[in-house]
Amino acid sequence: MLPYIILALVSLVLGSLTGIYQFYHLTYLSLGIPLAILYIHKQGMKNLVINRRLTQERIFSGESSQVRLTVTNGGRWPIFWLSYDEVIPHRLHIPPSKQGVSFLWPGEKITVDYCLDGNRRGFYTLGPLKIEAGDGLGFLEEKMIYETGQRLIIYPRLYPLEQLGLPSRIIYGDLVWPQKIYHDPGRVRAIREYQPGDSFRDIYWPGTASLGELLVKEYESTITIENLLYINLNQQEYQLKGLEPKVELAIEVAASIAHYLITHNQTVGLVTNGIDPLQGNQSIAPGQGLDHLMEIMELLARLELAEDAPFIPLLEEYRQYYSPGSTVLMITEIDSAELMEKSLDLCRRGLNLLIIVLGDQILHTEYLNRPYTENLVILSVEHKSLGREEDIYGRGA
Amino acid sequence: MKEYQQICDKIITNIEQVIVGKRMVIENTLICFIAGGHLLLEDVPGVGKTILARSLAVSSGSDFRRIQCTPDLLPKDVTGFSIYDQKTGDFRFRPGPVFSQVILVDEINRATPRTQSGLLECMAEGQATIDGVTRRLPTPFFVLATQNPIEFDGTFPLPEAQLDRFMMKLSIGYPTPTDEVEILNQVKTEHPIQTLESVINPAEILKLSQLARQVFVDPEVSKYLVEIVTRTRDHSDLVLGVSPRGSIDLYHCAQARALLLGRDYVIPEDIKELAPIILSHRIKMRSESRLRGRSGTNLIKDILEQVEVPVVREG
Repeated sequence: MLPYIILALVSLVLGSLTGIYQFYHLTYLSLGIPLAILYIHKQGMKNLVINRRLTQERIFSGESSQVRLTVTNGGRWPIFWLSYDEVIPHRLHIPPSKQGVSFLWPGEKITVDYCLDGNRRGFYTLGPLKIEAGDGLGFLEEKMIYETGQRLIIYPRLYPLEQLGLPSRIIYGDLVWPQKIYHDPGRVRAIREYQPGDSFRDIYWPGTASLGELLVKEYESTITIENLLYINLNQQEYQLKGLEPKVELAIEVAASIAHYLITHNQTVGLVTNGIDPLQGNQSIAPGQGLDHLMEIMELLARLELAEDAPFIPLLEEYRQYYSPGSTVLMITEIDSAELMEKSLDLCRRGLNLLIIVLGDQILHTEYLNRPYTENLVILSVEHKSLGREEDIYGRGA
Repeated sequence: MKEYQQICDKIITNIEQVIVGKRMVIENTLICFIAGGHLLLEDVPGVGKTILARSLAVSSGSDFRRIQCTPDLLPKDVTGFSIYDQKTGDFRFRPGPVFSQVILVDEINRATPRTQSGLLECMAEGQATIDGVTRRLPTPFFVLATQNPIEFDGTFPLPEAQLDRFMMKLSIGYPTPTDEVEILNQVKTEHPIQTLESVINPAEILKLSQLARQVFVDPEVSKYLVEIVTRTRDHSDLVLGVSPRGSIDLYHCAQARALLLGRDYVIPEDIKELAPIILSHRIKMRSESRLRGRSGTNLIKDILEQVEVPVVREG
């Protein structure tokens, strides 16, 4: 703009000195045209409407989501020149190079369609969309960044437990428990004589009236089985060979078990030493329902390997999640002596332990494939066992 | 009809003295009350669920009781029980809180399935059978049950068959900052519920209910309603669609809404407005669809967009 202002001033001075009217015209032109262009440009940019729409914001690994990006001139003035550059994570899509248009007329729309390939699980942020606009003559140029924080979540694949080589029967439900810890008032076991200390709430009035002596109801003692999934994502406890497939397998096994348990109305929680780059979450308390499963799946989608995060201390750190009879399912690459020692300690505290080792190198083979009535069982899951079969929702591997 | 609309407005305005900035929730609660159904409120603690129930009871001159559900709550704690009277040598019936006109069942999913079904039988039948004797419950009879959507530990989630017994499922939600400042000003000296007075009596509520059933529903509007419900039954994202009880509830609520808005006929807009809150809790989604972020409410709204709205001439 500055050269035009200087030109206007010079022509104004010349006009006043020489009295030639054409210099005044030049003054008007050199000021008027840039100002008009500036006004039109500002109006055009003010009414620029950008919209990015995804067909699906949550997909499973192996699926894709279509994106439609529209840039509309919603105002009454044209935009002289505009270029746009969409920033997309390379794992999802190789974005086209910077593109541009000259003259975006009022009401005109630019539509860009592209596909995001969910080849790898993750939590991806789309954008920002970088926009540059100007008059095309070099009077002015403006840069704009459009950010919506739209995200694409790619869940890990889910497999039937049989396909993973895991039992389809994991202990669950309410169990009668030998110790009188919790009474289930919905399940009366017997009627007996009143003893001092019994609650009046438990008196069985019809029986008391007919026999003429106080009778109380004796309830069943029950426990509700809770499941807690542990995933060991400490890089130091993984062999470097085939690291990525093993980590993905660990996540997929955890996701498949969580899906199985929730769809069978069980309670499940998740604890990991992996890194959640978004929220820093390392645990989800045991819960039920599909919303809870969604929370678990989102965390599993985000998880990454941690460089140095010991796994065994987590077993103590989250002991508030255990209740008597809980099942602890651990997914790890190695059944180290330290891990087994801790597991036996947990068994002595009344917990059921299921250690899922990734690969076939089992150190403590005496616990391998034991009957599921045992408190401590080791199972092995191998990546090759998945082959190219379909996952739980019928997608090929 | 304008006269009845004014009565409804009077109740809503009265409740608004206590519940600030939630007119839509109050209107829907009143619709459910007039339509003769029961309401499930799913919300976090402290947003005014109890106050809503109490203010509705006070405004309508009904008696109010609250049941706090715990795992050791027995069906007889809800319905009542017979106690042995030594003087007469006979059993004397002691009615439970269910023998009230407006009942708040707080955290219903903390009660055992046995207690839940005991209560839900009362809701469905309007009567309670205790020790072989059937007793009619008072009228109007309105249950507001609450459940916490966050805390599932130690709960017994209501199965679909029991959720179906609730005519409507609502969420109050947090107030806006402006409304919250207004609430703080209101409770400065004493809670407004303490001074709230009734503006109607239970007999008038019953009359409103009877009048609502007289509201005209064009056959085209009925077909529109059925079309919406039918589409839920063969939807690929659903395991379970809406039951005929859901259709009936939507029909009666649409009549009640028409009355509340001073009309003696139902328009498709009534169905569109009410369908998400009446139908969404009666459907069961496939786990895959839920994981993809689909929700019951969104699904019903999608169906509403797809079904052609009938053009009905007024009058």
